[in-house]
Amino acid sequence: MTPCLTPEECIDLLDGTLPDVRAAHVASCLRCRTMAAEVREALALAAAGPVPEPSPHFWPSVNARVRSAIAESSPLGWRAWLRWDVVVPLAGLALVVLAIASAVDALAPAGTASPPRAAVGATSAAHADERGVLAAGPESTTGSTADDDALALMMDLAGALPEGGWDELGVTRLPDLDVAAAALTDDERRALADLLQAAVERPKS
Amino acid sequence: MTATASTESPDDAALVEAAQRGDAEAFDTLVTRHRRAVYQVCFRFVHHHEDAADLTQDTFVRAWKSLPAFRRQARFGTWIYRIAVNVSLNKVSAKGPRADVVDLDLLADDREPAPGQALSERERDAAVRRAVQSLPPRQRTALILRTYHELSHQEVAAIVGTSVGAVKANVFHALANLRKRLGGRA
Repeated sequence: MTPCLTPEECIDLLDGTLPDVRAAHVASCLRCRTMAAEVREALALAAAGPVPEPSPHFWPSVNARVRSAIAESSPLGWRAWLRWDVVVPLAGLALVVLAIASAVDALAPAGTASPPRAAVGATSAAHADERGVLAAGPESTTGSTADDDALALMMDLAGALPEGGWDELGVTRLPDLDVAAAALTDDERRALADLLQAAVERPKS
Repeated sequence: MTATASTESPDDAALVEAAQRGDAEAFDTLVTRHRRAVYQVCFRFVHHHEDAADLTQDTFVRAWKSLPAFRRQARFGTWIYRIAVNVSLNKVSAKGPRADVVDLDLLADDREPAPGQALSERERDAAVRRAVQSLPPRQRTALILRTYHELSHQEVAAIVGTSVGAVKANVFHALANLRKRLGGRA
């Protein structure tokens, strides 16, 4: 006895493409005949519902809508940036930059936010004297010496960080302090030194 | 019926090539040729004119955007069907079936036949639509393309990216489930 129809063969039977050998099985198998009749009835029922024909005016409107949508989706210069997924991250980034800039300004000594280059050394030295960290002296009023002292301060503080201190500061890669310090202004160096000092002095939780 | 609308005419390929060079008029001609078939595919999935119109627009816009990547290994008609099926499935999976179809319980046989005969047919159609919408996506897609658009199993397989045997199996199971969900009325 030949096996009953598979689902694929049942569809072939409906399509009239089932081989004669398998069709002969159906003729002798009540189960397959019943299955085929049920599937044929379901197919007739499924095919009964037509798609309503839209108004004749609808079809030209499809072309117009597609043309309009394509025109709107093409590059529009600066207007292409006016999307939430672009504006929101940019606004967030701008806020972060403003916050960092404000923090640096707030940490800088009063009246030294944007000092003329010639006055930087004196200002830095005075600030160092106030902190009592650097030795006061005639040579400390020169810009280069103050820069060196600020750099030395940062190096010392960095060395004083406990094990894992950089991790606690959120630094995942130990920076090259010489390079970093050379890129900073005096005020920025001072602010960084304050931050490092505060981190060292902060009690562990 | 709609298979003729999607049949590749000799110069569809030339229109596609022109559209790929940025010829909007050529693409507009392609839209005119295939808009009815695309609309009807979309309608079979959502059973709502406005939604089907939106999906039709979305299908062609996506096709326009994807034209540079279209390698013309498949016919444009097959390709646009595939996009229409995808956007329709995305739509129905995101929103779920609309609740504007009649409950299957309304198909009970103990109602007055005379004045309600036409209504009964509408309700039956609504019940069938609902049953089709409740089918798993693969079965629904195979049934819609094979039954309503008279595409060959090979064409359906090319559209959905599966084998001919899988298409036949999906159509079979779709019809079996349809019958089951219609309570044996089929």
